[in-house]
Amino acid sequence: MLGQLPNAVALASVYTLFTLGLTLCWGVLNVLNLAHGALFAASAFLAYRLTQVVPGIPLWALLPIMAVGIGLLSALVQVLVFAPIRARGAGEHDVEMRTLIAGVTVAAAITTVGAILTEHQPFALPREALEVTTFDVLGAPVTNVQVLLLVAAVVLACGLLGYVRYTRDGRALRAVAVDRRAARLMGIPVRRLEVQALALSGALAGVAGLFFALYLGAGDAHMGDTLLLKAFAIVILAGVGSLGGAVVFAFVLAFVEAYVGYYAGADLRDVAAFALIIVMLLVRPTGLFPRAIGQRA
Amino acid sequence: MRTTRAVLALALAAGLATAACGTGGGSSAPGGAQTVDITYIADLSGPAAVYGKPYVDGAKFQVDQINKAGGVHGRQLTIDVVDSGTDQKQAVAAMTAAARGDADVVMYAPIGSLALPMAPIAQQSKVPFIVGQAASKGITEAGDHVYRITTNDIHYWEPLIARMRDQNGVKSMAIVYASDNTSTTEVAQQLPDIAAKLGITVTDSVPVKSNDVDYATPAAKVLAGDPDGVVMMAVGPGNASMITTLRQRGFDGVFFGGASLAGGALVPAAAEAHDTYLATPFVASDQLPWASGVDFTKEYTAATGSAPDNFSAGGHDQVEFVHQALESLGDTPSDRNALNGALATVASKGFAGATGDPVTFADRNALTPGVVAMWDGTKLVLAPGQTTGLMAPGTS
Repeated sequence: MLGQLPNAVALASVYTLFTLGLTLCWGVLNVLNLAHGALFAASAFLAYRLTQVVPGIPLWALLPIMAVGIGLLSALVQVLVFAPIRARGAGEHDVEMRTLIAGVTVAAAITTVGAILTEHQPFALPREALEVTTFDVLGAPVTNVQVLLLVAAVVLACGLLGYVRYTRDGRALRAVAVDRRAARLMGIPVRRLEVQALALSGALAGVAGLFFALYLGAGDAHMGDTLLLKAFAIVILAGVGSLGGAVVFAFVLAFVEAYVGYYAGADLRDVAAFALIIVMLLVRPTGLFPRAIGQRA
Repeated sequence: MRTTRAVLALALAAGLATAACGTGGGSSAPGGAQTVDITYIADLSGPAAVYGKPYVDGAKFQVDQINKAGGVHGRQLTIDVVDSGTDQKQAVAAMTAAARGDADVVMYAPIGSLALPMAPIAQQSKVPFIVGQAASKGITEAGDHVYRITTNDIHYWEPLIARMRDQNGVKSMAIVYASDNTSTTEVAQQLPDIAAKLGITVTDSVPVKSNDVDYATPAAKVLAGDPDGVVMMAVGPGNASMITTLRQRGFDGVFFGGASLAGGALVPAAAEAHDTYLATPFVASDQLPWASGVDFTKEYTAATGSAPDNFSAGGHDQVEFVHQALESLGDTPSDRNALNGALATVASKGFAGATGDPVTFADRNALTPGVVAMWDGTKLVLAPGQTTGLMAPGTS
């Protein structure tokens, strides 16, 4: 029973890291970014390519490069795709639908580039990036990657929560989510904040993708696809806009999957996970921690 | 299931509609000489591209070799490559177009679920259809115009496990398989009986999913049984992830498996995949137990600058199968029916291919001896001590 604990916590950390960026865009800014999974995968395959160009580059150097690189890529998507769609959209619903489709298209483009860059082959970050070591905790094997995942999830979740709740830009961002026009009239730089939010979301995807590639040991250009579906479920069931709720539900889902997966196998693991999601949708359709739009963070 | 039936029904309807349209027979090349036209539908993009591309490379290589040698009785071979995008609908559309057009023969590799709806279209249109890999049941059963050039992995499992027992001391094994893949699930269901027959204990059978995000949990389950060896039948990067995860947690036994460990599947695991073995129809080597495989290795490497793998060997043999059929026809004009008759004749006798000499057939499914390959840290090489193939000639 205890032996599965590190695996469940590591899986929860993966879900948390992936979900943070998505929650920021969707829960706080009302932008459902379907390219988030592709940006996450882009971090892994670009880091892989970078390690080929610069052999021996360590993790501590890759982390800021990928955070900044994927952050910029995400900001570029906002400037070139999402912002023009919003500017030309006929109403909020129309903008949401167009943004969804644009997200799918951007994701497909990024994934295709990734598949070409990796020659459609699975890849792995080299050992030089991080030497994986295993140690014993209460009889259970724990790797340094699992510890790093947990630390990154806790630090980034707290950091993001602090940013949205307590910084001037974070509060302004929530104001934009409530009413963009009113926020603009109040002098809030809406466009800059939106670009900033997408950049931050991308940076989170960059860090998450890198850690996930290390954790899995191998990946491919499609590695973000599976997580995207689960992250949607986590955001909805936590209550859209609740960052803390997303973290809690990431842990709930991961623990259910890890323990059912261990005792009953991967097939029943998915049955249990989706049963939990359906029950939650029936019992708490607004999520575990429902938030009014002005309270989101 | 309902979707599969619908696709099959659609495929059959499309096939019936096109049955009378195409007759093949080649087309006239500049100067009046007739050509033999191959349409190769392959997964060149999407998840199966890693396997589809080398199949096409192998087929193109052999077409070039034949044409450079003057063609077949004055006829040059042409190859038109169509990307299916690892998508069933695109594959069916490409098959329909090929059947309606001038293709003398259609080839495809490597996914069974894509080949499955293509086969009845080929059969209805009476166009010879030669698939590579594609292990699903029901493909060659579509009719006498459908052939499979790659030996089904299941034939290799018993001799492979016996070798693991005798040479690597495996007395117990765990089975890791992709439970969302028909072929690996079918094999996983049959392996316990094979293991029992060989006196090997199966400690656990652990399902994983393609593109899974957690390999630590199935790894813990495998390790709980303390097996000597682990059968690896995940899909794509899942194999390397699982191997790496198990090694990081102290597993020092052997890994073994089939086609899913070929191609670039083990590259991400690198040194962690030491002591990994797989049964395969072909591995590039100058020590292969059949001379035609050694010749193919040398010629392909010289022509392309890189060593062939089992998939490019399969592509080579698809074209060589047609080549031998055309040779047997002599100067007789070859329409689709004549070509299919010649293919049946060659299949009954066998031919020298990259994957065996002879490549024989049972119910239009190729049976080749196979060998055990091992991972040396960077590539697959022939495992030592193999003077014969895994299967004796004619074994099924």
